[in-house]
Amino acid sequence: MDIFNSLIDGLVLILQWKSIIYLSLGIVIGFCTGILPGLGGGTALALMLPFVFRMAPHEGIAFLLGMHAVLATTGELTSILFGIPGEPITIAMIMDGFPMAKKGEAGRAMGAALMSSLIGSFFGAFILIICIPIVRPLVLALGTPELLMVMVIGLTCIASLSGGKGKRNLVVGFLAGGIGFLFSLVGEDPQTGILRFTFGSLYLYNGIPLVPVVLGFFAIPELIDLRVRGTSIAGNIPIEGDLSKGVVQGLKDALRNFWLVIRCSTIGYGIGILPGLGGAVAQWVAYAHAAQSAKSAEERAGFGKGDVRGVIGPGSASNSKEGGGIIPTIAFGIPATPGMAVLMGGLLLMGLVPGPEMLTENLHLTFSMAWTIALSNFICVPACLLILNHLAKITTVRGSRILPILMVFVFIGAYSTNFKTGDLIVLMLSGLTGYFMVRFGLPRPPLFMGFIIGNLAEMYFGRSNAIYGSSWIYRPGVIVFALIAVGVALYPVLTDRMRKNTMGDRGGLHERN
Amino acid sequence: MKEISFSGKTIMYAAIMAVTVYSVILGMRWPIRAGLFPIIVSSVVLILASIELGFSLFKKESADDTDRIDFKLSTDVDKATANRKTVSTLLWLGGFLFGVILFGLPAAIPLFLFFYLKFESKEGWIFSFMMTFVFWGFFYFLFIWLLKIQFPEGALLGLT
Repeated sequence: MDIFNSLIDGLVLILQWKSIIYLSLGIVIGFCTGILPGLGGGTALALMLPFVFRMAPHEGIAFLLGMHAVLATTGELTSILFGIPGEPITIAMIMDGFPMAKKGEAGRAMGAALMSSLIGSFFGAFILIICIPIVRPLVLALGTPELLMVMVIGLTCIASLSGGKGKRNLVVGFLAGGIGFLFSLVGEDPQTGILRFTFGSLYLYNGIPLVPVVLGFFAIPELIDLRVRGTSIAGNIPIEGDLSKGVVQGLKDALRNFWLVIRCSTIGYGIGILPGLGGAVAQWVAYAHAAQSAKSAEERAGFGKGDVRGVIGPGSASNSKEGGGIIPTIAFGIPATPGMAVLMGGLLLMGLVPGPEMLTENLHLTFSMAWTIALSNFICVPACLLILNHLAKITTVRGSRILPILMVFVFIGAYSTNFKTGDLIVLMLSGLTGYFMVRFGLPRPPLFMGFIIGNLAEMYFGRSNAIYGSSWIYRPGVIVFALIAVGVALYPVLTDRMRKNTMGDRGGLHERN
Repeated sequence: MKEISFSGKTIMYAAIMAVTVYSVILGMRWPIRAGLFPIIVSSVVLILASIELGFSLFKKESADDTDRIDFKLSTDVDKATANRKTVSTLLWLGGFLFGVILFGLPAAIPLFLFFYLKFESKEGWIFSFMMTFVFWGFFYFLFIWLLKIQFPEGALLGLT
């Protein structure tokens, strides 16, 4: 009964007029920040922290979390429209969203992304409410070896799928993932303090920064291709008048694939709970799951070329993970993502200390967070739908006019990380590497996945060895996760083989008949 | 089996192998705790790159082998034009980088935008000027006036 009362109290807190005003303000800032590639969500949250000093805790939560909750939603729109991630966590959306925009289906892609995001956010908030009392022992049961294996599963998902349907897919996928791991090892070793692969450069002491790498790998090849094509983003396809229809079709697509939305939301939520993995991992794993769910190899081959399910999967995960991310942040004081770390700073500024109190005395505030996530997307998504037509028309602007502006945004985004020339050099080098990877058929998603989880994987690997010696390999959880990883790796090959066998049998039957 | 043939792909895998050999050598110089993970990862990448190098040299690639779930470059433009435009785009990006180093980002943005629109996109003087002005106004309003971000000065402006 206490939990139910806290749930209602949390809703009442968020529905107070001052909270609604702060929530709306946060949504507007989050919308602009998410849609601009030059502004990171963490930066925007950090810039807004001083403003929460005078706010009551529930107002500050509405303001900060409202902003944070819509970042991914609007960042996805930029990924779809321009092939440039609005936020580093929305890269997976480019894989099928941008090809759809190039086919003149930007409206449909955005409609599908928004609807799946909305359902994902509701799902995340709902599960957050349900899970709060039971999740603590579950999270604590996972040791560093199990967390390491979760990362291996994530990398395996991406490596096995983005490598394509050929027999060499695993080799190429893991090769790209391994290169990503190597990139992540640049900088000071967190365990020994030894400088690795820095070549005497002070800039590399803290490792290669994420944002210039993301923008370089994923934006520059697309920009080069836009210049080569010499058309608008949507090519020469006339989309005038069809956009609203496309949006409605996208909304219907998301509802038609409701179970995919729920499965990917569950993936997003699960990864969101695990500290350090973040939204990008959630989106990629959800994307991999969406591709893996394809019934045949031919259907799977459509992914990366503009399959709407490649938009729905990542869209669902990006927002459901917010609900998951709140749990370690408020219950254990372990921020799940950099954005959550800043959010936790805001909670501390308002006098809220993460820990068991947030699940007992301040439970109503914790529930108000769940309500905020749901409500902010409930407001943001219809607002986005109202302007989608205008946004989608940007894809019909002549490429030669939009290209320099996109280049400037990419530069601002990369430079805003540290304001160092090194950021721009990293951007250019990553761009060149990304271009050659695309040209020679080495998939970029596993590389990026390896890059973002490499540091954490090494840390968990080191800790596992330090705590358990080599015996961590025999832990039951590790063995189960390892078997799942093997299953995930072999799944596309086995299903393809089974399908061929089945078709062969049918062919034989037909011949006999 | 096809005849041995060298391509850009071969060079790429050879370069990856060279980098991983170098990183294994570096890793062996570090203490075991710092070097173990890089050695393991580099060794795995080295083996995988060797396999792919072998495939690219000796095995004829099927369509399935090159079909990746990733962005694909346009193929409907002839190769010479595509290469020329790719190089010119990279040169423009490099020029922008050079401009940022020399003049700082706030000054490099209008210069880059105007020159690109006028000389690469072949837009008219008025359109190029107006577009540059509007975008720079937006940049100034958001990043400098509203967010109070202090961008570092360029090498040339820092001298004055």
